[in-house]
Amino acid sequence: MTKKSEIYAQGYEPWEGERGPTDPIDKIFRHPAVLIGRGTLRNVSFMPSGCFLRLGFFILVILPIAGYFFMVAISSIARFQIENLKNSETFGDIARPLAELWAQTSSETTEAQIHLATILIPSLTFSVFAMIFYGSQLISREKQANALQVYFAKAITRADYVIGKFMVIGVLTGLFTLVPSALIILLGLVLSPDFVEFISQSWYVPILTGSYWLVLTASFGSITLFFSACFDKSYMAAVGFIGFGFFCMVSSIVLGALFGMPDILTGLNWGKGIYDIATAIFELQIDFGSRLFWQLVDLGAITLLGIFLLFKKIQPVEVIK
Amino acid sequence: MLLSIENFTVSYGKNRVLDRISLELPNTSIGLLGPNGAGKSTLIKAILGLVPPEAGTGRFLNFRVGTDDRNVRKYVGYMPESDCLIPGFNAVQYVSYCAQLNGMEEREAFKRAHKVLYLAGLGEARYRDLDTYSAGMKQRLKLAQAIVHDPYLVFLDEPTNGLDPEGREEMLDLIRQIAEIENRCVVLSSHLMRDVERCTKYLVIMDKSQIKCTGYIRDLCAGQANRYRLRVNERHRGAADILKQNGYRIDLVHPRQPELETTLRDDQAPRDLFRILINEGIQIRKLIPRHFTVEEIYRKHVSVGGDHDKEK
Repeated sequence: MTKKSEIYAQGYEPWEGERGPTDPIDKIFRHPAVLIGRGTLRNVSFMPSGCFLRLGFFILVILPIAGYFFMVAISSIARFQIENLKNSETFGDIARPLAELWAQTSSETTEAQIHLATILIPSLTFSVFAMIFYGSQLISREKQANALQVYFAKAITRADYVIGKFMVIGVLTGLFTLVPSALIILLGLVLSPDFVEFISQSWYVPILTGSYWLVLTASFGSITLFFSACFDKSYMAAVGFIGFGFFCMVSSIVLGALFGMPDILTGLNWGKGIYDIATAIFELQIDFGSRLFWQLVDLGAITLLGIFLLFKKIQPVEVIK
Repeated sequence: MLLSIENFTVSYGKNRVLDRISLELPNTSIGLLGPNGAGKSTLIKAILGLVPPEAGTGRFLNFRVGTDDRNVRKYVGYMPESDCLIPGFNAVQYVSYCAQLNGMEEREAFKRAHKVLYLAGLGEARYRDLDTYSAGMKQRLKLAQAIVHDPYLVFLDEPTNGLDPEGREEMLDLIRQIAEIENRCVVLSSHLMRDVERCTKYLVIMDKSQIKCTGYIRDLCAGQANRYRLRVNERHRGAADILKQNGYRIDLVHPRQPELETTLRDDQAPRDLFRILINEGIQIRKLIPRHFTVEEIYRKHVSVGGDHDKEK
């Protein structure tokens, strides 16, 4: 008979259960990529330490974001309830000129265009800041703590790890694309005077917003995560991300000036490429013969290159060759 | 055999770190000994799939090492040598997160994390931020995350690094207890022979990218059937000279005790020692078959101070 280890007397129990999810829903929620995404979100330090930094963070980050969501909500309520507001005693004076203006433009403006006007610039701006402050930490902090070998000593693959990090990028970009869009649609469903008309105009908007969110997540994510994987200091990763944006802008201008701005060079302007593609998505004007085509090609190439290099840079064990 | 690998080769650039290593590990506690740079840590990392092998195959349970790494790692625990804690967690969150990454359900993972942290001696500090942990506490935490999912094979890479004497004793005790769990295997990689001797039953010695020696410690240490330690009543130096004159090899003459060590050839028998010495008026009080120590086995196989391989 084998001798029993003393460890049992101290409360240790062998684990005979399943080593992995078995039912289909569990397979999604307990997938290693999801676990990594959740773990990373928990670990990102959203709030800086120190009184002054926190105050600065509140003034420069929290207030603008809260203000933006407040404006989205207010403008949507005003738009959907303009007829009621026009007749109200309190808001009538303000609402009547707005109603006239709205009446002139509403016939030509689609719900998707309203989303574009409401979401595009703020989402790009906020997402850039989110990448600089948070995206840059996602891998570099773990690299600094030498934690990659702990991750890769577990039952996860490099693809799980990268997908998990992209999920966090998706949450950050989704906060500024999907959430305001959902807010507008929700308010529209609740407050719109003609419910059916609203649905007929906006049923495809979630698809467009989702597409824009995917473009933003893939393009911002690949570059941010690549720089985050290159450095073990997150501020260096942030500098890399900003530098890359400037480099793309300057190189497209310089090359364009040298070679007469053919579309393929204009497409190299990474930030403008994302902006133009997003506009085309919401305007539903995909013209594959134009500059947009080259912007799509260039953006796709940069994103794929970023993902490829990201995979190369993520090594569980640093090897000095 | 729990794990077997064949012709494993790993290089870092032009530097070959593992050179066609073949190894079979039984289901017991194993000491992996070797000097710094022998390739111990790389061997562990290659088995885990952290470093891709250039060549070679292997099998762990029913999984192929090198291609089915994800499944291999579900059943393997690894305590790395260096600090490697995921930032932002406290100890319970960290250990349960590690368990979840190995496929454990969240609630069960938390339950086991608490138990394992108590076992590792971190029960009171389990809600503290990891940044506030001392080096010794981090070692304990690394051990906790390595065993939380009840792995079939646990690799411990220099587990007593940075521990004070008391902590070191506790750690070695815990490792010995883990090694005694039925059907579980612990591989203790170290260059500290005392640690290995105390906790393990099987020995693997590595040097210069190769396996130099494997076997159960009891067999390796007893593998010296023709070497004897003699205790005589008087004149032990004279006894050594007499035996030398009679063609015996004298390995050691003790400086103070009346003891000497001799190795017999195949045509020499222990009873001849009694006959020769009694003729000279020297009595043999004790004749003990000499066992190797782990240190002697190590020194026999590992070139020390840059020497080339000694006799095997």
